[in-house]
Amino acid sequence: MNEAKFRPGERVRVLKAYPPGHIRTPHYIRGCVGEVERICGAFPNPEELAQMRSGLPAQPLYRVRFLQKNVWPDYAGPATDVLEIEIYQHWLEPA
Amino acid sequence: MGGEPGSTVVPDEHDYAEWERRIDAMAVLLWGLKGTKKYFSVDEHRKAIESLPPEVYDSIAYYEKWILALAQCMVGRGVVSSAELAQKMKDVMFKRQHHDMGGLPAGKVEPSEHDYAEWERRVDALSVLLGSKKILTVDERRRAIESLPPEAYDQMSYYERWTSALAQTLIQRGVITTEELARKMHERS
Amino acid sequence: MSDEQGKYRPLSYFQLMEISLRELLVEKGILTNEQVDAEVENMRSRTPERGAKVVAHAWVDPAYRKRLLENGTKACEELGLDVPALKLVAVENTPQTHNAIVCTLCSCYPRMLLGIPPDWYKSRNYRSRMVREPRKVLDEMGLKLSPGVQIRVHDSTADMRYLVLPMRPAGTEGWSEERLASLVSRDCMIGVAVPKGPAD
Repeated sequence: MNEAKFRPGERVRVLKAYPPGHIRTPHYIRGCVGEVERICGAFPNPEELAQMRSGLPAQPLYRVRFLQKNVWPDYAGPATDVLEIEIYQHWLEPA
Repeated sequence: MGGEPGSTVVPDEHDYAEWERRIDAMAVLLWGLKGTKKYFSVDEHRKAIESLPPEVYDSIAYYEKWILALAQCMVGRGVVSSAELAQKMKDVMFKRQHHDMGGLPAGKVEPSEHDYAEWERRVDALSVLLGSKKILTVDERRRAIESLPPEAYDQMSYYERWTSALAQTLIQRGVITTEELARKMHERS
Repeated sequence: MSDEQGKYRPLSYFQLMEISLRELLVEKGILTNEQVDAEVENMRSRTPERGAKVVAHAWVDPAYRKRLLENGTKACEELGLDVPALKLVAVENTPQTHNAIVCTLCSCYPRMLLGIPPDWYKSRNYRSRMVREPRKVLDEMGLKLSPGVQIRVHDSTADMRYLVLPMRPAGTEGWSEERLASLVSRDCMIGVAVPKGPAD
């Protein structure tokens, strides 16, 4: 498996990229900055599995926490509201 | 689209740009037509163009369709991965795929439920069984759903989409052929 | 062709496709009808009561609750629940925090524990709006939260599946686990509702 690059608590940015294929990083979160909540483990890359390939080596998967106000410019709720999403390592860079 | 109404043919032409000529050249090379290794066929390339959602198909130019389809074929065949392309193409936005709907405006959530029909439960059962026998993956089935034209995606029910995805994936995997399915559906109808 | 209720109704294109796919798979020796029937029965046996059992046990046993929050899958297996391939993350409601689950990209849901998700969970409206205006959606669905409560929305985008561990209602001291479990609906475990106790 690929080595885990990020640790819980670390600030990360989601790549602002829009490649073709089966992608599990939602459009709305690309380019956003959040904090690693936990490392979920490493799993075969779904983008590759969707193309009938093995998806190996397994890729680290993180739960990343974002403040809603940093995701939606017009977010109407309290500043403490958060959105937590699972994102694969290759979609993250240090923030 | 043969036979459908359309407006007057506008006889425009343009001088081919270098990037457009390069697309033609890359396609020919990747199709294996110049004694080069064949990575995918002309038919796969055409199928990728045909699978573009209608509003994308109608709003982008000829060579934009070709390069988009080329990228999809290359990802499909493992010539490049989505991840590699993402790294190369950072910071240039493209529209969301139709199923990727988080954050879009929408109406009130109707608290609807329905009793699952036997055929719907069987679709779930088939999907689980085929997955556990490693004949296909949920990821392939999801991708098949995501490839549905937006209108179809919106109008089909949940289990209709999953049935369609099961068929597409089984055909893609070569477990069944289009012909076998057509024949069986005809026999049983 | 008759459907399960014995009424004659023409088969839809997709019902026909399901039958055809299944028959082809059986003819090719890939599956048997017995396997399909057995899996349908397996799936029928997975109901939200299984999740309610986990929640009730966590309410009465603080050490179990801690284990549940650390490793949801192992905690289910501890109670004898068969949850193949499930990677469960339990998220806990507190007086300061409310959790809610959505899958914006499709319909990911802890099926191996709770069974089939409701139609509304898979709907365009829920999937689109829940990440962006959760308070409004919850309010429309009958759950009003004060601005002092933080909302954590979990978008189930990859391999994990989520179970909301609601707060135990007041006035339930000394109740049996079975009685406590009866307060925990499927909607509480998705996070669009909270259990109602005797005082509510």
